Amino acid sequence: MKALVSIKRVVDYNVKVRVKSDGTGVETANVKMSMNPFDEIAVEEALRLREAGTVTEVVAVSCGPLACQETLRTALALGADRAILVQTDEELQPLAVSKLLKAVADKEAPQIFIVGKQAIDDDSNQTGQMLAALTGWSQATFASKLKIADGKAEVTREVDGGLATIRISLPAIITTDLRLNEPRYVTLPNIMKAKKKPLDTLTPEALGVDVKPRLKTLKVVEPSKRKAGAKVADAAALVDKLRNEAKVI
Amino acid sequence: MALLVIAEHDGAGIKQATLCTVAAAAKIGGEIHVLVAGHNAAGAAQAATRIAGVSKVLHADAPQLGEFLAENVAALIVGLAKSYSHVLAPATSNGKDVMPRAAALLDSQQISEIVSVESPDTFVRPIYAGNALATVQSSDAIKVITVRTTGFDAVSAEGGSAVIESVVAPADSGLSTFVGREVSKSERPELTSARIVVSGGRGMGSGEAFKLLEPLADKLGAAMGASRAAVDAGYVPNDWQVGQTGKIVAPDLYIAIGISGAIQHLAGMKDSKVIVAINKDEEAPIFQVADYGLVGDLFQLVPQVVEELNK
Amino acid sequence: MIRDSIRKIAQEHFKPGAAAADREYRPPVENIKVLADNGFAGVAIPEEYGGLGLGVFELMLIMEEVSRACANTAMLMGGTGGGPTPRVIAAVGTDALKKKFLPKMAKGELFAAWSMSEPNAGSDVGNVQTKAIRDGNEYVINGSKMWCSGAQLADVFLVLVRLDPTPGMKGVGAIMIERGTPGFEVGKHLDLIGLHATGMAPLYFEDCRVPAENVIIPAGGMRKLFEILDDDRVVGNPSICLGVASAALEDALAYTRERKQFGRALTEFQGLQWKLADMAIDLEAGRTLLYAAARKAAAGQLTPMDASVAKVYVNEMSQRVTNSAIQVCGAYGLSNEFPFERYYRDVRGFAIGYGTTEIHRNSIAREMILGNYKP
Ligand SMILES: Cc1cc2nc3c(=O)[nH]c(=O)nc-3n(C[C@H](O)[C@H](O)[C@H](O)COP(=O)(O)OP(=O)(O)OC[C@H]3O[C@@H](n4cnc5c(N)ncnc54)[C@H](O)[C@@H]3O)c2cc1C
Repeated sequence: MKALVSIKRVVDYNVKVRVKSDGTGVETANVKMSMNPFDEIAVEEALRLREAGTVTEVVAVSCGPLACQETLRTALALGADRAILVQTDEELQPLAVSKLLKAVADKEAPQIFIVGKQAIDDDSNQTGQMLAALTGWSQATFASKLKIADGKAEVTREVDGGLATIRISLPAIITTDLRLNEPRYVTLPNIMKAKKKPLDTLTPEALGVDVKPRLKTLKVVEPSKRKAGAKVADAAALVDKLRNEAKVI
Repeated sequence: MALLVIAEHDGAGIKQATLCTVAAAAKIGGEIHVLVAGHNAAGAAQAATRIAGVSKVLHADAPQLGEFLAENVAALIVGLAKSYSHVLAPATSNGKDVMPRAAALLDSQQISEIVSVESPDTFVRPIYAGNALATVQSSDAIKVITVRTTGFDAVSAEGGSAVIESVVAPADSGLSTFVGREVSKSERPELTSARIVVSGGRGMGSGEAFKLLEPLADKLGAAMGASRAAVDAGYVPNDWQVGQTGKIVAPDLYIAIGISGAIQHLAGMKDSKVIVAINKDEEAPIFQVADYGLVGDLFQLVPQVVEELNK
Repeated sequence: MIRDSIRKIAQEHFKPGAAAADREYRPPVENIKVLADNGFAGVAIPEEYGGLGLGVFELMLIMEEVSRACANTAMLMGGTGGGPTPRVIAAVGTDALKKKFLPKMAKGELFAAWSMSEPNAGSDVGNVQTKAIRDGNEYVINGSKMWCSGAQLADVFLVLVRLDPTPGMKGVGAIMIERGTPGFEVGKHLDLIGLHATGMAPLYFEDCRVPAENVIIPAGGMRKLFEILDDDRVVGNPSICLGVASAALEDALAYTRERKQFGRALTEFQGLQWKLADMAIDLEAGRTLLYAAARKAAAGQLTPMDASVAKVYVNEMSQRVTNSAIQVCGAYGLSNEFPFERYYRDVRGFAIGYGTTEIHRNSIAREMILGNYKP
């Protein structure tokens, strides 16, 4: 059984992003980029399936500019067998990415496609579900446990208020939540080996996918700064503010 | 054109999240319909008719909709969506699961977790974990949207008088079956990942006094923490310590009780989204970082806060 | 990618315990296991012995990143396949010695220490007095050693001994001695200003018998050893200084951004801005110098002058930067609740270890006067 995992190159989660002064986006020049953390979990899960003998090959796929090769190399160093870059300098939105991934899935015919539940840059939380829609496959989002047996996947999902378990037919799309696993580190010997693993490049044109963005970003601003602290009169006023102004309870 | 809101419900009634989503729909403008999809959910459909501002409730009742499996619910939504300009759902785990699947089938680029409506095609949504707000404009014919419910004040659950229209659910996809559900136990969450943290400091005066914070933490589903001063004084165990030499936390809500706010402590919690301080010393540095400060005797104030929360 | 990977491991695993290791004088041996598990124990060991055979530049990066999180762990790493002992074994050891020690070191299962200094032989290595006298197939060793980093953990020691009564360097060689050999004892922990968790101790030998095949450098072969050491002057000692100084500046910057006085963040005072800028200039100059030296070493072109220039500058830079970090943080900088005082203490010894900065200035001057350097 073949597993595909998709990988996005994003601003490293430790970086405090700054909004550009012209309001066109956030500053990404000279900022450390890394693999989206949920995608690391996706890679880890695929590797564990391979180590358990369920999966025979793990292929990492990324869509974006040439620099994504570096992120794919990280996936290879984590242990993926080969990698595919769908290279484009266009801004890619989730619908376009899911179309590209669908085209790759058509070529590769995996039984399982593991996707991070969301990317920590645009926080869309869409690609896996959209890919499931386009392939017509089953989906299990926000997975915190995954078991594959008898041609089915049993997935425990993190849902509001607890956990829900579903059984889905294969091929399937799984999106990963934080507690699915703890990703391993890239080991030094594997970094050396990764250099020799195959990394193929495709293009949206070759796959026949129109990636034109549907959403136009008009502006990006910083959220309003923390208001200067205010003293409140009593317990009732405090609870009221927390409920209705800060909306944290 | 009309707008369709996908209801979050428990079969018998409508969830608050639905009311906030209707509020977002009302901001866009147009006739608002609500889809109640489920099994044996007539009660919820009835409740939906009473939501202020809703003119029609579409009720799809079928066993295959019972657990809100994405494949089945998305197919239902896609069938209905063609008559709507906007389809909205709250950004709950159901909404997040189903809506993108429906959006892709409609060839529409979903707009996730909007917090504000600028115009019928322009919305504001947080990106980078809320560190930036993007205003985006959609060019799709049918706009598929999930709504961050904290961004909108709920409309009234009463006052509406919508009609109910039954709709037929597509057949079971056969791709997915529901196995079971496990409701999370209300165990105290882990300090570094908790959404809310209640912390006590030297002002608690004793380990015994930390018991006073338990009802508050229970009520809020919060983790408990402490300042180094409280840990050094032996009030609570070491692993409760928040600060430079302890744990670094950044919850949505941090409640500092009897904590003066030494810089070592601030280093461990200053990135919290909302900070509340309760302290009897009006000059305590913690008030400089607190969004909401309550000055007075914590032994009286904490029970009062719990009482208010119970109201 | 190497840097990213080791940084992540070091920040997540080594940094949280760094203060406690220092405070409790407890070598963080568990970190060596983490390094080994992730393939970082055999960095410099040749591939045929189970290592990765990586070059000086990669090793320097790894040391820098480990030190950014925990200098004590970096010192311990010197006892694994990333340190000087395996390099010496690989370069001049017999096949038997290589087979015996290298594969285990590559797996992080065997920990090595390096013992040169003696109570009366510091800078003056030629004055080594510990004697090894041939007796049949064995050498009998008597004497004592000082300042041996990692001694309390090490399984095997590379020890400089007088193999031959000829005075000075000509009589000095090196022999491998395993822990537990009768007549060999590791002394009590030596408490220096910093690097509290490296298990540093003196060594004592009393009629300690070691097989003759353990001699790794015969009398008079010390030149060879120093050539190997030149590389180590780049990857070991100053890389640690660079890592600690980087952490100090990073943390000082974070602190001064947060700390408010006179109603403003400290970083808003120009006087402090300039101080921070000076720290960055110093740090980056040191980094550039060291990276250039490491690249030359990797290409086999490192001159003794390059090594000494980099070591001296980076040693002294790290003292200045960690000292300034304390200054800009005020009393909190001195407090053990913050890492600044530890950074300052930890870097201090590096200007003394591995050749004092004075001895390195001697070599620089010698090269200059010999005409081996054109300004
Ligand atoms: C952190 C640390 C770790 C160490 N780890 C090890 C280890 O693992 N193994 C080991 O064998 N040793 C180790 N050492 C010891 C180290 O090698 C010696 O400290 C060093 O060689 C200097 O010797 P000394 O301390 O006896 O100083 P001395 O040689 O007594 O020097 C004292 C002072 O005189 C100066 N001086 C001496 N000779 C001259 C000269 N010719 N010209 C100008 N100035 C001169 C020196 O620069 C210094 O300022 C370590 C030391 C430190 C600080």
